Amino acid sequence: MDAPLSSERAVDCIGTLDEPVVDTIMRDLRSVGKKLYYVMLPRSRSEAGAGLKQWDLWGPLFLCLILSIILWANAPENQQEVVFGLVYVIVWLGAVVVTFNALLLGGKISFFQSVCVLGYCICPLVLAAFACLFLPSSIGSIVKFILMLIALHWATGASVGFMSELVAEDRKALAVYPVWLFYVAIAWLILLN
Amino acid sequence: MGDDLKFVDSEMGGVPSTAPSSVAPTGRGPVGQADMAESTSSSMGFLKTAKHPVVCCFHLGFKLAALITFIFSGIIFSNFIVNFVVTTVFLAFDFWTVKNVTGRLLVGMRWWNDIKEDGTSEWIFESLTDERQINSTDKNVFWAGLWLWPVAWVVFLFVEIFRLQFTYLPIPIMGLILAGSNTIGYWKCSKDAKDKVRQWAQHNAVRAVVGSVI
Repeated sequence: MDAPLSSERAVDCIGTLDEPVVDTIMRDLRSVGKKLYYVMLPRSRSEAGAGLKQWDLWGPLFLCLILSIILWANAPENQQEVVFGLVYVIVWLGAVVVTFNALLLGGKISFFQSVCVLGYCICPLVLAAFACLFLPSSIGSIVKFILMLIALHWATGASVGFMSELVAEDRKALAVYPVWLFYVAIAWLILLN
Repeated sequence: MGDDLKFVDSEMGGVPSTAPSSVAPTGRGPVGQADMAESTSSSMGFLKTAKHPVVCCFHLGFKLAALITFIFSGIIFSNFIVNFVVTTVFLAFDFWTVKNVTGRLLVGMRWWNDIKEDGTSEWIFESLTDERQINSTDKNVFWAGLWLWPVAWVVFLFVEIFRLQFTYLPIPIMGLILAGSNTIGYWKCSKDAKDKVRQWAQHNAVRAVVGSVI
């Protein structure tokens, strides 16, 4: 006997009440992988992050941890703990603050969706940081700087589009500026090392 | 924010809603026996009375692993970063396991956030209407783990604040947020289940009265 449900998606989910655990794991892993791939595509810029609507926070968590580890690996001995903690806190607190800012400006967004988009869009910066690990210091800071600029442009693409869509016309700049600032802060932290 | 709450019914195994009134007396038997076995046996025997012993182990296992790596961090790993990452990973695994696996297998409840086509989101809390299928050991293990977990992290939070160990502070905060979300989510599911039982009882009482009058 079918349960009396109104939405189609809820009926799909009833079917998953009994599914084997492996299915659940693979479903979530695939969803995270799809989102990471989506963020790297140029399509996400024009669609303003539409593929990230089904939010999850696993991607941002692991990206944050990976970034913290990369920066910790490069940091001088006595600062390692501080660098790690700082990056971790800045990523999460930054995403939350930017989201609150958009919400207070009257944006109609789900809090978690916004944190999800901001978190996933760190991916290009993480890749650039990873690449910088392997650059010999002889090539120097110029190449790193250029790499970070490209990554910054990439990262701000989808997230800025997502944010600006949600607030009123006259407040777009107010909503978009913190997003841009957030990614610049992270890029700057990466460059500092 | 436009978030709505919605409570959803789910019936397992196609049991019609009028059946429980006639089957209830026999249904109580196995549950009563499980209670007695639980109180008189050792911890391994305790788990044997559970319908899903492996799931119970996982429900408590990741929590134990996170606690051990956090409390004994200086002893197991000398490196702060490894401690932090390992504890965070265990916390994340525990959250995911409780939310997606142990909840539906041990107590037949689930909660999630649904994003509709127009972009608005809705929190959905689901529970089984047929409570007899839930083993009491499973239920006790689940709820004990669920309620004690956030309490533990509140304690750790204050301990870290008083010790002025601010580099370790993100862990109890994360632990509290993750533990708290699961607790609130499942509490809402259980409130919904109790409401449904009460409504069903009232509905059937009304029908009985009307039936006897007519």
